Amino acid sequence: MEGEKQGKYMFPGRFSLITSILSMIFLALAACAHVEMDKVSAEVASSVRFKSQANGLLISIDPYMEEERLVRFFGVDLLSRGVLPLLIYFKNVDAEDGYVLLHEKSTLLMRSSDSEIAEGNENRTDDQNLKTQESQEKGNSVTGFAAASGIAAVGLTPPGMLMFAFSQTAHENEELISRNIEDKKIMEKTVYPGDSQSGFIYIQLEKREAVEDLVAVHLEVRNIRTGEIISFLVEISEH
Amino acid sequence: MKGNGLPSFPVRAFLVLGMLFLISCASAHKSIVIPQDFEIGPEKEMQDKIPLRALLNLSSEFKRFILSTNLSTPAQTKNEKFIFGDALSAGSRKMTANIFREVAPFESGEDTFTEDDVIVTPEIVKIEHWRTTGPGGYCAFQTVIKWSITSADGKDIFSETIRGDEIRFPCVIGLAFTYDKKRKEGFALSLQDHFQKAQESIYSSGWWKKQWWK
Repeated sequence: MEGEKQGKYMFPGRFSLITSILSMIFLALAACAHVEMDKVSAEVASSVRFKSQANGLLISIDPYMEEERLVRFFGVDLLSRGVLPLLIYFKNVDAEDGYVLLHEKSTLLMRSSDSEIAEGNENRTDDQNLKTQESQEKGNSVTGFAAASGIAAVGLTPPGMLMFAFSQTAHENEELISRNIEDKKIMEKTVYPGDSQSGFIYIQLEKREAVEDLVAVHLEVRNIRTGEIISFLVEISEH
Repeated sequence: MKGNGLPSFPVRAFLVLGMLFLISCASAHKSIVIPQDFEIGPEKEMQDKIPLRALLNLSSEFKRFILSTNLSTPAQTKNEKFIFGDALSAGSRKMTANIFREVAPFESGEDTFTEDDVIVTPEIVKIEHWRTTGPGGYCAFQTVIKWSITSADGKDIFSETIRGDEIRFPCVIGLAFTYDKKRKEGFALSLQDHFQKAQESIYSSGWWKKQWWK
């Protein structure tokens, strides 16, 4: 009887031990999974929404504001960290010379909170009605994601190893996110007739809500032969 | 222990593995030369090549580029040097020879430039390697170089920053010599990817079709 009793009481103990170990393994595997981020294909880049064309040059812009899309392409909601990614597609359709996009001079034009622009003012790109946010293209500096995960590794006992796995993976994921941001950044290129380039620029915003006031993006390109600067104002509007 | 005085097989195996492990971890300074036998192509037919002479301007920094790393984890050696110079120089020569009618080294004191000469200058932006652990872990190798083309009298004609990548799954470290071999191959393949992209982009951008700088 005693043996049977012991057996009865042992079973839940073993069962819970096994389930605990299995849970730890599953948890560890889940913890070790790396963040996955989609690439932007050339087709996607060339079909972006907001466009401006002049002098045989075309610039298209797609602001990444939706949380789902941000997570899919950057592994994290960048806007919650105050960074607005803008996908830029620059094509020399039939301009004669080579041109360089001066992406570091990108500027956002925001609807001023104290202006009269709010109710469908047709002159909404008028500089008097807009507050210009000075260029804060982040470029190489969007690397603040490799910060400590906040989970400490405490020894190498099984729970400690699990904690270490969390900590290591979280740290690696932060680093991967930073590298992905850097890899998707638009790079310098002289674009001659028929050629194009695409990539992201990153704008630092004061607060997430500021994107609601985004009206247009101002960009400049330089003619490599003459040095002439051409300005583009790409309106961010569905209408 | 048996009668012959030798340790048993498991003990001997353990000792051999232990020695191998110690040898693999002991080398505090190491130099790894990146191979230069990568393939870049295809070479354009002579009639399709860019009808100009490329004067390849390789700075001494570029020709002697060394990536130094300081790793202090137990499984890896410290103070490693990856020697890239020869591979970078060879790749630059091969890539330009594939697409230009003629290639020659740039001599800064030279005063016999012709209007058919352009100066091609590569500049390293970054060369790096990182790896991730756990399921789906990988080794990544990246080469970023900016290519500039100017006329003999200094006019900017073309520039592009180009990235070469190599990702290897899985990133099993193993013994030090296996890891060294993997990294050597990984860096060489990221260089190969870079030069391949550079060749395609420099040629296809068409900067040379209308020679406005002459």
